[in-house]
Amino acid sequence: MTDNAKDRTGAKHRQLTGRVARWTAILTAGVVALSLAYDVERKILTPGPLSPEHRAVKDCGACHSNVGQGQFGWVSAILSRTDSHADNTRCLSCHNLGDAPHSSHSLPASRLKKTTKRKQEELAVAGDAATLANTANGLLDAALGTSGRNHASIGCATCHKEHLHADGAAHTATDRTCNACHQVGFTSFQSDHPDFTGYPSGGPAPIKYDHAKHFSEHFEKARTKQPDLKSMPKTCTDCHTPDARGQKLLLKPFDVACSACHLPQIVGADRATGPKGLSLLALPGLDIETLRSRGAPIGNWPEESEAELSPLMQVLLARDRKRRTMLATINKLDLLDLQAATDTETAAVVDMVWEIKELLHELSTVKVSNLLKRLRAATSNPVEREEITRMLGTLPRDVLLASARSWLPSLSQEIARHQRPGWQKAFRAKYAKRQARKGGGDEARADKPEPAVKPDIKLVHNPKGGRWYVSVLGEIVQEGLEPEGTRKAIRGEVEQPRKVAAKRPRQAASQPAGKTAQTNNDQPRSKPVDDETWSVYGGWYRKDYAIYYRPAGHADNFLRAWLDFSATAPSRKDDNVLAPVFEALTHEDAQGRCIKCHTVTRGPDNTARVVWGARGAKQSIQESAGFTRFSHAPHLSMLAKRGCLTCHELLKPKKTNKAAASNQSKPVPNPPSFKPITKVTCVACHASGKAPQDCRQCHTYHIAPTGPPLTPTRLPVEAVNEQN
Amino acid sequence: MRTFLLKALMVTLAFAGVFWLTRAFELRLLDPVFMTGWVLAAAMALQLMLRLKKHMPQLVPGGLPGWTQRHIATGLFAVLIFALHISFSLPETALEWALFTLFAAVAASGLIGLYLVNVIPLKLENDGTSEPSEETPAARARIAASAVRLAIHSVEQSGSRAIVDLYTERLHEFFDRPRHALAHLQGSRRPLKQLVFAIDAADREDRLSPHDALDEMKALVRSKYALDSRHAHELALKAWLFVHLPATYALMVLTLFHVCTVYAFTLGGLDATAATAAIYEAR
Repeated sequence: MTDNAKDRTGAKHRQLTGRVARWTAILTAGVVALSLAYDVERKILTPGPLSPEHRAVKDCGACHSNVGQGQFGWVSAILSRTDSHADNTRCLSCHNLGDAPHSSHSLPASRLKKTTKRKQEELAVAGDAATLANTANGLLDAALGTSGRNHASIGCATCHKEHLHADGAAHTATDRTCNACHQVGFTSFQSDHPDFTGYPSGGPAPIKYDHAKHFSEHFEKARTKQPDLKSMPKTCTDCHTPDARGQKLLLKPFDVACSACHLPQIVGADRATGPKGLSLLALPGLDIETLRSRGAPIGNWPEESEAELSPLMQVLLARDRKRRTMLATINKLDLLDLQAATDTETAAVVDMVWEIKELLHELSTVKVSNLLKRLRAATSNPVEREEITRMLGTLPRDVLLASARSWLPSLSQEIARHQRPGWQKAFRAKYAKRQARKGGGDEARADKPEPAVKPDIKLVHNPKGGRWYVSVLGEIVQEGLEPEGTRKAIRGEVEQPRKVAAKRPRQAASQPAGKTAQTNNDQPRSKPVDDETWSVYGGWYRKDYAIYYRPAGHADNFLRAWLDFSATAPSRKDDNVLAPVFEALTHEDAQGRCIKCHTVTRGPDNTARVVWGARGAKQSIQESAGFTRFSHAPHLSMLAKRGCLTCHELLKPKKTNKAAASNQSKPVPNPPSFKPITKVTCVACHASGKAPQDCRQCHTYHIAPTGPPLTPTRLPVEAVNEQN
Repeated sequence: MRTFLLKALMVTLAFAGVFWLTRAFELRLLDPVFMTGWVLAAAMALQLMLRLKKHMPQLVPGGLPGWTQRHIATGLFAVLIFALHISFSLPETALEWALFTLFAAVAASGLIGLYLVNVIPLKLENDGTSEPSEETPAARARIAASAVRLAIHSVEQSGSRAIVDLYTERLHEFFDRPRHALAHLQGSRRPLKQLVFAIDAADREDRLSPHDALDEMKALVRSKYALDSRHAHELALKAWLFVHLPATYALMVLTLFHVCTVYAFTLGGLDATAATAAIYEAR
């Protein structure tokens, strides 16, 4: 065979292969076309199965914003421009990423900028280079058009890839994805990650608990004090328990972990001196003698009272600016010694007396809802119904009525007289005029001849021409001329209301809440238990000239409500009546001792907040630290003999100056119990060839609060009406 | 060998460059799959130039041997890029499997073809047959006719039917058409040994059979076996193209469809146009 024959054979062969190839291509195109035509579910277009969470989505356009409707709606999208913002919006119809969902870390750019700056400053101090930078400029960036590109708006699909694996999650973010911004060479956690600074960085624990001091001192003391105490913790798990997911290690409830030792402190059982309850209403003790000598018209007032004007009561009295000024004046005085008080101060005391009487009268006669108005008027804080329920709603009316009857039997008459127009003004004018004329109160009065009346009644000139007949306690028995009734009163023919209380003041004042002052003769003559002791399980009681609330136990609603309410006072001002309440309730020796364990945080406007819950389900380290997360569960089985101490190393207990601490009026900060966890501890396991050490192992990307977006569904009124 | 090493080095360097680019793309929050996909498409287009050179040599500059070498080097490069493109994992869907299978068929047939093209011509030069490859069928027919004549002549000469029976039972099928193609491609001589052993056995069983005729039959069997070997190798040299080319064409069609679907359903990743709040601008 010749060369020509060879060529012919070769050409024939090439023709044959070419023909077969062309037919194969045609056949392939036909198969594709048929598949597209008859594949209703468009499986041929699917690049892979959706993740289980998205598998129910059948419409491609639900996620792909540029894909149109219909069997071939996708064809028009081939040449259309990709709009990541529109695609993100599709994602956000189901996934709520907060207010800045398109930004890096789902955070507003301003906050991210602050965080970046702070982090860079921290790292600069630690001698590390800046960790955040834009992608490096260069030839590649110039070619790709990525020069100067910022990452303030990032498409969800940058990290979240779908259609990957049947059982896989829809994300593929890797360490390199993180390194797009965090550019310092993070080849591994083990070698490149900077050491931790103060981790866990969730801030001070909400509960003040010096672990080392409890282990070394308090538990020992408690054992000595109560040898039969069985609930003394012996292991960490006696007080701590993992949550359902094992992520956080929660503090067990107060009843389990703390009550054995701390409940008596809350209910005041271990309080040796002072009231065990918190005074809400009281007739404060006054220097009656001085007031009487100055002719101050305070009406009936118990001489024996040594009660103090409580900060809580001041809130109820401070209805307006004038009264707040009055209270500010009162707070500067020693009410039991008013000899040095000026006229203005004396007038303030008189005002206070009548304000207290009006308050008691109002509480006895008007609806308790009036207190809501008083509280709203006293503070700029909004007060809700729920708050007043917890603050005052449990106060029994019987206690109020019994107290008012016992303390001020003629309260109604006094209020009626006091409310007559011009009375106060007239008295003050007269008083001022006399002071100006005589230059002194007592001397002036001593010089003036008084009418011959009973020794406990004094005659005071009325500027309108009549006279005031004032009882020994300053009560105006009658005013004007001397009608028959007045003369009877002066002669002692009219029963002096004061006498009822004066005869047996202590006995009447210390009856149990809601009971009358009558003595039951049928009862054996054993020493009756006093109200304060009787209220060992908490509640309202009256003692002397005050109404107290004794905490019922842990998480007492009354104390908590008043603490939360008063905490909102930004700072101490003269006319701020809430700040003293907060100070009184947060004092180390305050009833309930709430702040002995609970921390107080202060906001930028100096408003305080009592952190009630332990770090638990609502506040986790992850939530407080933001970018970092930790789950205890996978680590618990890795602990050796040292258990929790493998990572949590105790700090030595700090010696506290008890004298200084007892004088402490402000909440003390919560010192940490454990040394900060260092990177070395983690690297022991999270290292090359051991446990994983990629970025997302410990760091969270989306730190903005997330949650399912709710679809606003209108009530189906029309449908119901149609059915009817 | 030196040329081969140089080509291998170039392919490796090119692949390393693309691999670095994937990392660079990731650091710019760009999906490197698009880049590797287009690199793969470019490599495949470059490979098609060989086909174009063969069909329309005037359109493509350079010589055929040069394009053949480029075709081979680009093919090896494309295999690596393909692995990078699919992230070194197996496909999931029907379309992906079809693309994967076709690419694998093209690559495997190409590699087999490369092997055959380099090995078989050398074998054919050294197989000892004098006939040109185009005359192989005629030579095979002549040998078969000689074997028939020899069997008939041995009966007439010695009266023994040993050779005739041997031919009828074993050798007829062997001489009839090309046999043992797989054994020839594998380089095995086992079928030949079995035939020779059968002839020797017939000689031992029938002492009347003429030894000369049997020796002559052995020689015919060896000649036929050599021709079959040549035929099998020549067939192999042509057959791989019947896989390589159709698979390539089908792959091109599916690749086009793949590109369309990818661009239709691509979600926006980093969108520079929407970037408004420049957190880094203050730096």
